[in-house]
Amino acid sequence: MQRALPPRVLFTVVVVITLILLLGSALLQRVVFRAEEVAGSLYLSPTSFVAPLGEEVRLVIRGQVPVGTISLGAELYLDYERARLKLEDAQSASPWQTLSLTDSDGRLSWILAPRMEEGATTELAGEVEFGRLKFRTQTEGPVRLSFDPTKSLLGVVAPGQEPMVYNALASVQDSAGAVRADASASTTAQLLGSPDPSPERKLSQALSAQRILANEVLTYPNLALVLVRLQYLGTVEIRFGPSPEMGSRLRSIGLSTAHSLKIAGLDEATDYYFQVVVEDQSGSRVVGPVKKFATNRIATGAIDPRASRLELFPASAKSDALALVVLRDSANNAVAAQSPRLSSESTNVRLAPVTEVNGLYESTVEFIGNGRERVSITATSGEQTIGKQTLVFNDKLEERSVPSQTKLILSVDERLMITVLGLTIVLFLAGAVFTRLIRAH
Amino acid sequence: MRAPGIAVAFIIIIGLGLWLWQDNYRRPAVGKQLVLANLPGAYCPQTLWLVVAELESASGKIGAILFDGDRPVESCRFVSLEGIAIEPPVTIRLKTAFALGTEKIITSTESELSVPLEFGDLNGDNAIDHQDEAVVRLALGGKSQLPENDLDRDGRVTILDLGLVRLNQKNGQPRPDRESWSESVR
Repeated sequence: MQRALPPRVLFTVVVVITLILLLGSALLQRVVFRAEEVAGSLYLSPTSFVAPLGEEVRLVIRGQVPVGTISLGAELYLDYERARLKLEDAQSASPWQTLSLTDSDGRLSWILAPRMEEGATTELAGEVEFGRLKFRTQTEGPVRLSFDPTKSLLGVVAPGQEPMVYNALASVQDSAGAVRADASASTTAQLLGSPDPSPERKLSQALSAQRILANEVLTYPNLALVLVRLQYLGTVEIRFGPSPEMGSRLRSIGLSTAHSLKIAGLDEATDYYFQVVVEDQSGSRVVGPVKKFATNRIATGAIDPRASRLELFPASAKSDALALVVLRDSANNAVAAQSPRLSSESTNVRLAPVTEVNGLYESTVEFIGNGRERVSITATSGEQTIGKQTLVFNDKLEERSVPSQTKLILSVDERLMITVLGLTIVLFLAGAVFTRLIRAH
Repeated sequence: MRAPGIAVAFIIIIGLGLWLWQDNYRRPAVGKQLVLANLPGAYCPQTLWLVVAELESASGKIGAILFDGDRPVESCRFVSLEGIAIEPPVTIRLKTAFALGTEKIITSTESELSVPLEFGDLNGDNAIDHQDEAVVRLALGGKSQLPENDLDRDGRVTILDLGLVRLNQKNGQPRPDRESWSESVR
């Protein structure tokens, strides 16, 4: 009896088909669970202050609750220097109710939820005031008040999303100040503290593969929005202040390659210094250059289309991107109380309504399609076209961790390298088998 | 030459197979299954109690019980209905720990059925009310941080757990026979 195929050939064919099926099934079955969480933030206002010795310092705790969500409450863990400040009073703002308040060893723990008569949630979104703190200064010197980002929480409900209830806190902002015997009572931005502005960890920076790809600031009368794009996953800290010492800090919480951080509580028409510091999972830091931005004012004139634009961030995303409609007058001041709209010809994107906080118009573009698609978004205000931008959605887009310095080649994309290596070995074996078969015949 | 070649090829195949075997591929084989939704945070139920009963289409009256027992929850959210003779219309009532009893009526032959759960039943009485809220409020701020009060399993009782209890205040579905739900899912 004559065989149809030699066993070696049959074996090789089976091995190759098995490999193809394995890889194919892995690609086809890949399920991407999108996190639809939107970012929220906590900050203290003012962000910087100088206070006389023995006098009061009043600070307001504010936050940004993501639009489209319903607020459940907040857990605030605030560290301050007990030697310099003594907490005298903490008053929750309407509609919040204090569920728990403890102050021990320079840590304030404050849990707030909507008042019982308000129901389980409050419709508050956007800029929200949580409460007011009254401190009395004790001794002279620099002082910093910082939220613990690992414990603080901003509880929200996002109907229709999963998880429906989640912690929306993505960034916290410190407040820095100084207590001086000779100071006049002031909470305006002044020269503060003595942070370390020197170039740090230069060796680490030189060796790290992490890079700050883009760094842009959008300014408004009382806030600035810093958009940072990184090469690899990392957290971002913004150092900022009215002087080159940059006594205030704003930190992102999650690892990402695209960070949008709001510096709130700024003074109008004031120059500020800022610096982006990136930290990756290994603890390496990349310190960006010190730059400046200037806050503007609320415009009195009409929208100038030449000074206005649409910003989409990031330009390439997996599931959603931030859409910012920048409305400016001819003096580059922020135009408030407008109703800009976003539109797209693509049916694979969902555009959230544009919301406004003091001239900052923002929305999100959510990708509901599959695969890779270039999407054009147009912003209009009344009859005027403000801008048209394109962004690329790719549901297979993966944010990569920074490669380890000792295993740089494998870390570039370990899975890809292993696959290529495995397939090369299989190819080599198949070639060897075929060569032997040919020689045998 | 042949034996080492075969061995190397098998090692590569097994290696690739293990590499590709990830959590999100471990879904049960295609068949009728329930998919649990609205799970809070990292909460991962291991088992739930399932009662499947016939439903008279005209009157909506519950008929004979087809299945009454516990079922494993795979990958925290998938519950296979394999082995249960389901002829629509039927009613499925289910309960898992800390969630209210829920009903799902099956009228078609679709294979995957989403079942949203409502969490917050900390005392196991199949109702989320002021008693459950009092338990969470006491635990907030670290006074009585018991792991079972941490509904979303994020490691501590927080405002998120309180939010779940406040949002879901209502009574759960009872078993079709009005008996109490099993102790294992209270």
